[in-house]
This record gives sequence, C-alpha cells and structure tokens, in this order.
Amino acid sequence: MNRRPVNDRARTRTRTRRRWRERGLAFTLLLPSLLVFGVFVFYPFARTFWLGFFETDPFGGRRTFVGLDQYTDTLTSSSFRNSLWVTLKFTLLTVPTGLALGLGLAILAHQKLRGMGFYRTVFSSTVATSVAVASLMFISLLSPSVGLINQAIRWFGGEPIFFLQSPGWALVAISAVTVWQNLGIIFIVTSAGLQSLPDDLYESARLDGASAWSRFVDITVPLLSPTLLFGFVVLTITSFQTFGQVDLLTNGGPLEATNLIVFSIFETAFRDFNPGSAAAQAVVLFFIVLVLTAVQFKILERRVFYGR
Amino acid sequence: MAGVSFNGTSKHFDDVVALDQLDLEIPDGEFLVLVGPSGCGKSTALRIIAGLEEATEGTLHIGGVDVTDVEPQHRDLAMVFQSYALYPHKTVRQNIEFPLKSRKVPPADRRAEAETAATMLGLGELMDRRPGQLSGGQRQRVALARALVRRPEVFLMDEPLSNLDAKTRVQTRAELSELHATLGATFIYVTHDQVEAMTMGTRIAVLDQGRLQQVGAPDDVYDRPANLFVAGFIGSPPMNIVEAAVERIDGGIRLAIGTGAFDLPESWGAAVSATGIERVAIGIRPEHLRIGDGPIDGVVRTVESLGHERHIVCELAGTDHRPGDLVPGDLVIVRQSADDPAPRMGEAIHLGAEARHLHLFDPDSGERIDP
Amino acid sequence: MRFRRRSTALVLSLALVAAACGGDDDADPAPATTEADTPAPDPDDGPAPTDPDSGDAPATTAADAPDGDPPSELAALCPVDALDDADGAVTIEFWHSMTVELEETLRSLVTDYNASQDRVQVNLVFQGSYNESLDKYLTALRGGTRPNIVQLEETALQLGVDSDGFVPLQACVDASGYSFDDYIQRTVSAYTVDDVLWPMPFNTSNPILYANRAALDAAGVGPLPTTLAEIRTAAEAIVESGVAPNGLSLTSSSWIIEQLFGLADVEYVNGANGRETRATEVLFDSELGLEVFTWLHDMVNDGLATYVGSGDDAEHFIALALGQAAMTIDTTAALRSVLIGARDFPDVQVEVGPMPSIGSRDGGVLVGGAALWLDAETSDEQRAAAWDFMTWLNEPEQQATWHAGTGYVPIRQSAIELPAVTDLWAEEPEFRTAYDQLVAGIESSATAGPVIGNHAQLRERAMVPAFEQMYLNAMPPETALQQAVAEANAVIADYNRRTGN
Repeated sequence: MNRRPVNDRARTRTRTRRRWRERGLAFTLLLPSLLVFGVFVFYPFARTFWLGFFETDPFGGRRTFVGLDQYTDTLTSSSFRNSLWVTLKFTLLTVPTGLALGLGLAILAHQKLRGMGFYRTVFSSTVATSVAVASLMFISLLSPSVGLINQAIRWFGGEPIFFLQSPGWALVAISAVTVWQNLGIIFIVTSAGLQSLPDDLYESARLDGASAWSRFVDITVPLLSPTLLFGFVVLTITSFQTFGQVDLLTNGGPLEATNLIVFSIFETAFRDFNPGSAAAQAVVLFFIVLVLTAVQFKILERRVFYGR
Repeated sequence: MAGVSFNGTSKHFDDVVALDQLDLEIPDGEFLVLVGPSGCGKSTALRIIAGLEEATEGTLHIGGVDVTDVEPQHRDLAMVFQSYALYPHKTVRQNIEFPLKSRKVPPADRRAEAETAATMLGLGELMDRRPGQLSGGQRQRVALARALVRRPEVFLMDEPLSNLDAKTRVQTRAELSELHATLGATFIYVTHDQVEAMTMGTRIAVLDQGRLQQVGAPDDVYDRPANLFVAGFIGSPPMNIVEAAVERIDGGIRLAIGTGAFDLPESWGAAVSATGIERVAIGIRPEHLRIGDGPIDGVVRTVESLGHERHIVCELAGTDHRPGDLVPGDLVIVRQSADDPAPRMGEAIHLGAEARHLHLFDPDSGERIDP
Repeated sequence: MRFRRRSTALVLSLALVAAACGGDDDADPAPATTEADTPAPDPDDGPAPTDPDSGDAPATTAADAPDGDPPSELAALCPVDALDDADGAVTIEFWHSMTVELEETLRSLVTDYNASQDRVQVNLVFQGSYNESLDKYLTALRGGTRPNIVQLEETALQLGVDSDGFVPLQACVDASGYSFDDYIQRTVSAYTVDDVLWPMPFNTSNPILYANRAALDAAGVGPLPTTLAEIRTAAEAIVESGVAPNGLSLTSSSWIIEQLFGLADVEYVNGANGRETRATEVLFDSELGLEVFTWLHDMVNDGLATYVGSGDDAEHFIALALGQAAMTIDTTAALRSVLIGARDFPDVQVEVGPMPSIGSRDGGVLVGGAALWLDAETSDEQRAAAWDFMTWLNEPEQQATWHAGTGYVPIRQSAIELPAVTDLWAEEPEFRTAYDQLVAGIESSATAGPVIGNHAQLRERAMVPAFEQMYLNAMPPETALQQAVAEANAVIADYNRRTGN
C-alpha cells in the first residue's frame, strides 16, 4: 500500500480545495432557485425601482428622466396617503377578526366528536376558492335589490343597505369577503398548531381547577403564539396586497373608500397608463410593508413562546 | 378522612376492556402502588380516580363520598403526570402557583404557599427559571410542588420516575417516601417497575389485563404470590417456574422433574391430590435453590457474576421440551453468594431447596395451592 | 459568512444592472414619435404615416410627410389588391369586447363572413372590456403579439392616433376609392381627425331613455319626458303618487354630461373639441355645466333619483325591474338584452325615448360605441384582408343584422330600407329611437364629440368622484363642478406632458 506523505502544507491545500469544491457544489445546487428568484423577483423589483425614475407616455415609447420626482410626488400625494389610510383600516378590520374567527373555529373543531371531520373540511374549504369566486358570491349576497342580506332586512321591515355603493359600508363589505376567504388558511394553520399541544397540560389544568377561559388564555394562546404570530404577519402582508376584491366589487370607490393601495397602483398603471408613477408607488409600498413587518416582529416576537 | 375505594368499577373502550370489575379499598394515608405490565389497566384506574376517565360500570368513593360523577376539579386531589405537564411558558413559581390562581387565592397567600412547597422540595433557587432550563429531576420536583401546594387529601402519580436516569430515580424514590411520611396523605402511585412497587408501597396492587391479581403488603405479595402471574411478575430475577409430573405413590405425591424427583410433604401432598391435577407448576425463587446434593439433576449453562452475588443458569436434566433449540431443556436461575464456590460451565450439578420455600400452582388456572 | 454576503450583493447588483439595461424602449430611436407624431394638432401637417421599421413582413413604408400630403401617399399604406396575390386564405385576428347578445351576433356575422369566401379567415378573440382590451393592446405594443384588428371605444381616439401603432383607415379608403356617401356622415366624421379617418366605424350607439310605461301610467305621467326639467316633473309625480320610491335610477357614468353638451351644441373641451388642436382644458366650467351638475345633485338629494353605483352590475335596470324606479338612461346597445330580460317581469312595460336634453336640441347626440382599428404591424395581405372584412361588416345587410341583434345604430342609410330593419321597426319601434336621434343631429365640432388624450382617466378621476361627492356627501354642485374641472384639467395636462405635447 503506497501512502503519500502527509505534511501540513498538503493538508491545508486539500482542505482549501475541498472547501471550494463544497462551495461550488452548494452554488450549483442553489442555481435553479437563484435563477427563478432572479427572473421573477429580483429582476422585476430592480426594474420597477428603475422605472420609478422615469416619466413615461402611455405607449412605452417616450421616457424622461425625472429623478426622485415621482417618488416624492407619491409621498406627498393626498391620494396615496388616503390609500394608505384605507389599507390600514382594512388591515385592522380583517386581521384580528380573521385570526380570532379562524382560531375560534379551530378550537370548536378540535373536539373529538363524531363527524367532526366534516366540519373540518367545511371550515378549511375557503382555501380552495379563488378571490374571483368569493367576490362574485358576495356581489349576489350584497346586492341592494336581489341580495339575500337585503331581502332579509326588507323582510324585517328595514331599508335596504347599499353595501357596495355607500362609502361607510363598502370597506366593511370588502373586509367581509376577505375575512371569509382567509378563514380557511387560518383554520388549517391553527388547527395544526392545536394538534401539537399536549393533552396532559389540559388535563393537569382541569385538575387544578382552571376554567375553560383560563385554559384558553393561559395555555392555548401562549403555546400557539408562534402560529398566531405567523398568521398575523402573513395576513397583514396579504392585506396590503389585496386587489381582486376591490377590482370586482367596488373599483376603489365609492369616493375612494375602498381604494386599497395595490388597487390604486393598478389604476395608475392601467387606467391612467402611467407606469412610471405606478412603479414609484409600488416601491414606496414595498418599503412601507418592510418597515411594518420589521416593527411587528420586534414588538410581538418578545411575547411569542417558542419550544417547550 | 380520604380513603379511596373502587366498587365493581369497569372501563370499556369500545370493545376493549381496560378495567374489569375492580374492587379495591385504599385506606386513608396509605401509599398504594398499582403495578403491572403495559396495558394492565393501572393508568386507567388512576385516571378514573382523577376523573379524567368516566367509569363504564361501578362506583368510586373518595373519603366516603361517591364521586363517580363529580368533575375532576372538585375531587380535592392532585396528580403528577408522567411527562410532568409543566406549563413551558411559565416560570417555576408561576407553575406552582397556578392551581391556587385557578381557585382565586389572593396573590400574597399564593406566594407564601408556593414558597413553602418549593422549599419542601428544594426548589428555592429555581423559582424564576422556566421548565426548559431545568433537569429532569428538577422538573419532577416542580410537578410535585405544584401538586403539594393545594394540600390535597389524595396524591395521584402516574409513573413519575420513568423519565429519570437510574441514579436520580433512586434518590427521588427516597424523597417520595419521606414526603409521604411527612404529609400523611393518601398516595396512589402507578408504575410498571416492580422494584419501585416493592420499595415504596405500603401495599401493592398487582393488575394484569384489567383484573386485580393480588393486593397486599410487599412482603406478603413476595412471599405468598396468589397466582402464577404474580409469582412471575414480582421478584427480580423472577421466580423459577417449572412444570412437574404428579405421581401417586403410597403415602403421598411424588413430583418428577426431568430425571429427578422428590416426594411432597404430607400436607402438600393431600392438597395436590385433592385437586386431582396430573401436572403441577412448581415455583422456587432463585435465592432458595441450592447447588449441592438435591434431588434434581442439572447442567450448568452460564455463570453470571454480579460482584456481590452470582446467577447460575442451569438446564434441568431430562426436560427436553424444546428439541431443536440451542437449549432444549427448562432453565432455572440460582442465586449464590459470591463467597460460595463457583461451579464451572457444563458441570453436572444437583439442585435442592427447603420445602417451606416451595410454591405450588395449578398450571391451568394459575391459582396457588396451599398445604 | 463573507461568501454569503458577497454573493447576495453580486446577485442584487446583477439584477440592477440587468434592469437598467433591459428593455429596448429607450434604446430605440423611434423617429416618428419625436417629430410631428400626431396629425391632429397641426393643421398644416399631413398625416405622419406610422410604419413598423422592425417588421419583417413586407409592409409598405412611406417617408415622413411633414407638410400637407396628397392622399396617394397614404394609399400606399393599404394595398387593397394584395389579396389577389396571396396564396391560400389570409388569417386575421380580431380583438373585440362584445358580450352576451352582442357577442353572439358578432360571432354569427363573422362565421357567415368566413363561410362566404375563401380568401380571408377572421379569428374572433374576446379580450374583456374596452379598457382591458386597450390595456392588452398597449402592452402588446411594448413587445407582444398584436392583433390585426382591435375594437376600441370612441374615447380611445386620441390614444389610438398618438400610439403610432395603427394604420389610418383613410389609407385603405384612398387606395380603393371607397365612398362613405351611404353612411350616416356623423359616424364617419366622429372618427376623422384632420381629414384623416383613423378607425372604421362599426358599432355606433348613443344613450336613450328607458322607462316603465306601466309605472308612468300609474303615476299619471303622459308622454315620455324629453328634457331634464320634464324628467324631474315626471319623477316628482312618480314619487308623490307612491308608485315607486324613486323616479329615476342614476349611475355614475359620465358620458351623460358629454352627451348633454353635444345636444346643446356646446364644445366640451377647447381646441374645437380637440379636433383642430390638441385639447388642453375642459370647457364645462360654465353655466351649462353648472346647470347639469345642479340637476344631478338635486335629483338625488331631493329623493327623486336613486344612485346605484357604476352600473356595471346593471343595478339601474334591476331597479326598474323591481319597481324601485321608473326611468333610467343608458346606451341603446343594451336594448335587446333589456327587452329579453323584461319578459321575466310582467309588471314592467318597457318604453324607450330619445336622450333628454337640457333645453333646446341645437346639436345632436354624440357618436358613441366603438370602432375598428387596423394595426400597423400587418403585412400588405393582412391589410387588404382587414379592409375586405371591415367593408363587408358595414354593408347594409350586415348592418341591418347587427342592428336587429343588438340595438346598435345601423350606420348605413340604405340599411333602414332592408326588410330586416323595416320589419323590426314595425314590430319593435324602440329600436329606431337611437337611429332617429343620431340622424337628427347637426354636424359640428360639438356634436362630433370631444377628443381627449386619456379620456377614460378623465371620466374616472375627475367626473365620477365629483358626482359621488354630490350624491353621497351632498356636496354643493358649484364645489363639485370646480373639483371636477380642476381634476380634469390636471389629467389632460399630465397626458400632454407625458406624450411630449
């Protein structure tokens, strides 16, 4: 058996070579993901950022460099600020409600009763509906002339409510559609979380005399807090990205009461044919959501309990 | 006054019978150990006392009161779970105070009681840590403190030592016994480990397949097992059980084991012939067998030295019940002091024992035959 | 650690560099855009022919013609005989936005065309609403598959001209010597900018008054109102008699005010309604504008009209069907659908009348609806094929069929003598209302309709919010008018600035 003499220099050489080979392999394995991200995320983002510096004509032909003008216009425009405010209201309407309802349903469906599987399927089912389907359903439901809700109101002798046509109700209506749609995913995620909670903790609490509410507040919520944080952050981010419901139900109105930020950007790009300004707005939105998410994490993560 | 009694208590899970007509009286202040192999119903019995399971039949009384339909939180008992069931997000102090908080005890009193319990269990320094930062033994003590803090009449423990390492286990066993002596409350303790059962209980109750096999003081159960199951379950190393053929000779009964045989004393013989059985199971504890000049022949198969004693495994001559096996004949274990001369492997020896150390059982029913 | 940070930086900077370099938009010189790109504004300039330099199809090119150009130069863009040299059928793609009965009728017409000859095959593709279709076309302009023919709303005139994406149909008219004598002239002049016809008129509509005769009778209202004031009186009668909670159901559609201006023969924007020079501001900041706004405001706030939103969901018609109101105003193109829908409501008897005016009808209703545009990235054969198809569509027989199946106005005068139309008008005289009021109008810059760059944006951003403020917040009409004017001018200025005018 021939063995090459092993000295320190040789050892370091092979170690370095091995490290580079490992890095090369790592990079190669990451390449497909990097490619996909690069093409569909990084490049579009960088390009959007770039577009924000140019004022464009509707045909994509003429482009004038205007520096940060479109960005500053966005930040000072009252319409943009209104959209932000509307989006914030919308988030406040949909996120806590969605979480609470989803969690509530999950707890109800967590009992070991016969036939609970049926209810679990029903409660998760909204995950399978698209925004378009949900919106169309709600249009029929909310119609002032033929909608079920208004028919019920009329039956009780009341005046029909113009849900989608009155500035006061429109945002509530959009929120209802969104909460309904989010129920499925929140239900699934919190259900999974509930399954992982150990039974003997609850048994011990029962023996100790804890009431059902105390068991919920002292055991369920703290132990579910990672799931709840996840739901909270994800729901907030998606609420800032809401578009479909607005486009189908209210078109941003009435009186901009439902002019959610993404919808406003869409209109700037595709109704006003102003891609430059829309790009600037989109980038500003990105940074706002970034900051918001960071703040959420900072504040809430302290109260989240991970692990046992 | 808080004894516990089961009256004809059964528990069925669909078609599985977890507990079958349990009748058991546990007087106040007793340390009762429920012991048996997995699935014997001991945990079910415990959970029925706790109220976490509802009995399908029969009743349960605590302190003379029928609590069969009473909610767990109203039964004035505390339970220590196998996994301790500590609230991982609360500190040790908060864990211990929790039962008091649930019963709306004012904060000052809560604190005081928690401190007392913690001191009793040596947890003083750990009060502000979280369970995740504690060792197994420490966590177990927190669980105990939490159980203590309400000063219940009955303490339930579900295999509390099974997650501890051997050394901690020994230490905690002693602590639990001391705790029992100090508090004077009724302790009901579930384990599958018969060593724990023997060392800790005032009485032990042996269960198998949902049925109570025998209940009594540890020594009684050890010296006079009521049936084959108890005989083979209690004792480590387990009792040797060998089947012998019953031969009637004038004057009594002769039992033949392989190539050897011996005559039963008269009182035994009468009892055996009264039953009319043709084969009998003989039980003899390893420490009661002697190597020397006994009536049974055997060959030494292995000699295991444990330092302070030796276990010698012998194959009984003439008992080829499993032809084709590596060791076809019946095996018995002999416990021998380290001072005695050690036999060699393969040596032919003779085994004997004193008549008073014999246990006879009906091989079919398993029941003990007394002289 | 270092490796990770470095590679992240590398990837991001690559993306940034790619973004900056990516896209050939700023790289292309596109000479036509920087020079006189729009023929409309400068009366001396002839049409600047738009031709795709990049196309490999043997499209005929013509040099830029800054001065008044003889039509023959334009004609070269549309060699109508090219079909004779083609081997096999030429396929052309037609993007449209027709739905329900309108789509059915269009589809059957196209099928007939395809079956009737073997030189041209038309591929019909539904592209959503007018705005969605326009969006898709503009996106395609930036590098995608463009259709050969696209149906765009009448408000897209300025956009179409400015886009450099189309061949003006005038080219084909000149090349073939086509005559529009039999056409209702106004439908042609509505789409003509500076003597150049850009798109081919096809589906022309205008608004009419829809009413429930049964409700009107019950309220004691006689003949249909023809002015705003008469509508108000009728609505008062309806509400007071308790026949319906409202007299009129009102949507937020703002072409109504444009139509009212047309009927009054008053220009809506400057620059001769944008037809002589590019419009730079709106002109409804006037007594007339205030009158319209006040009428709208009072109708809703006095409880005589109910505001039902955009009308996209047909709530204004549903209100009529369910007895919430007795009158509404909407396009004649909905007539067929409304008549079919009304069959389900026995209490409703549909009656139709001309668009009410403010006062005297000095002008005429505007030419609404849409027209067919010819894309510039087409081969000679495709242009000839498109011309063949479009002229076929506008033949009297087809216009008669089209009218009967939809409610759009037949733009060929001789079409009204065909049995299809005479029979229809005899049985359902509602269908001639839109035609009658169209031909009754005079020809003027006001009745040709305003030409505004981003017309749709102006309606959505300036008019609709002002109306909603009046309807939902009871904003006084003067304030709403001011708001609308300011916003509208801002929209126009923004468009002009971005397109370099």
